[in-house]
Amino acid sequence: MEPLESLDSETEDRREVVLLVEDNFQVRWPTAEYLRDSGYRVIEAVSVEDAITVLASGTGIDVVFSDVNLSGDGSGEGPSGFDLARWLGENRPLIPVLLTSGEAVPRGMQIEFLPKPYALAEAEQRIRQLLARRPAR
Amino acid sequence: MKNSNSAKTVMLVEPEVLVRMVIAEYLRDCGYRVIEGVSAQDVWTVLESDHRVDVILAEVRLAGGADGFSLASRIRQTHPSIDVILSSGVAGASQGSHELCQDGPIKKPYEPKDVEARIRILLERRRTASKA
Repeated sequence: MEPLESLDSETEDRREVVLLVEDNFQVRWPTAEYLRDSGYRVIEAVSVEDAITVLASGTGIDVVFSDVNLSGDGSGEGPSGFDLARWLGENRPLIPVLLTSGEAVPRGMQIEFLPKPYALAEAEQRIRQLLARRPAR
Repeated sequence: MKNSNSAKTVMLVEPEVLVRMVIAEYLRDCGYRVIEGVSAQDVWTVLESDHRVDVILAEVRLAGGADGFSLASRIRQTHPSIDVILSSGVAGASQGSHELCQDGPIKKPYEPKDVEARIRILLERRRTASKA
């Protein structure tokens, strides 16, 4: 199959790509808008399964910003942001991940973490710091 | 006329992440602001916030209780000024996005017909990856 212009042109886009994983629309919507207005390309996912689907599709992702409780109904069941961070560590170790939650992180866990509720500007700043700290490619 | 879309907002309601990702990006490249939702409830959240929405492009099969048909009929009653385009499947979503983007994307050199092909490639990649 001929390569499509649409796939090739992706490499010309210099914006950094944030994969935003958040099941709560009322949180995801303003966060995505803010990050886009800050100059990022933002891909929105609502579950760990969605996030891995995007990552496995070959879409270039520079940083993952994910909620911890992604059960969809607040029950805490199903794969969490911790599971996604573990998957990334095993499969995409070069992609930095920032987790967010209203609950505290289990003690001793080495993870970039932003407590909820977060200020949008603070989220953007943490993402920018993670991107700046990446090793040169 | 290519900048005529610049102030308009499309609410894209599409539960399938790869379809939503490609269509949303295409519509943004066409100059729209795009709000991404997966359910009828997401649409009501936006409408109740009084945020401006010009067009709703919704898949018939949605996450949550209500489907695209009932969403569209309720919106026609409560917000008759908002255009609702219902779509079904990859071809439908692609067709709906082309209706909104008749002048083509502003920044990128791809053809509208490539949108559907691109989604199909991504879906095929997922099928291949899940077999591996």
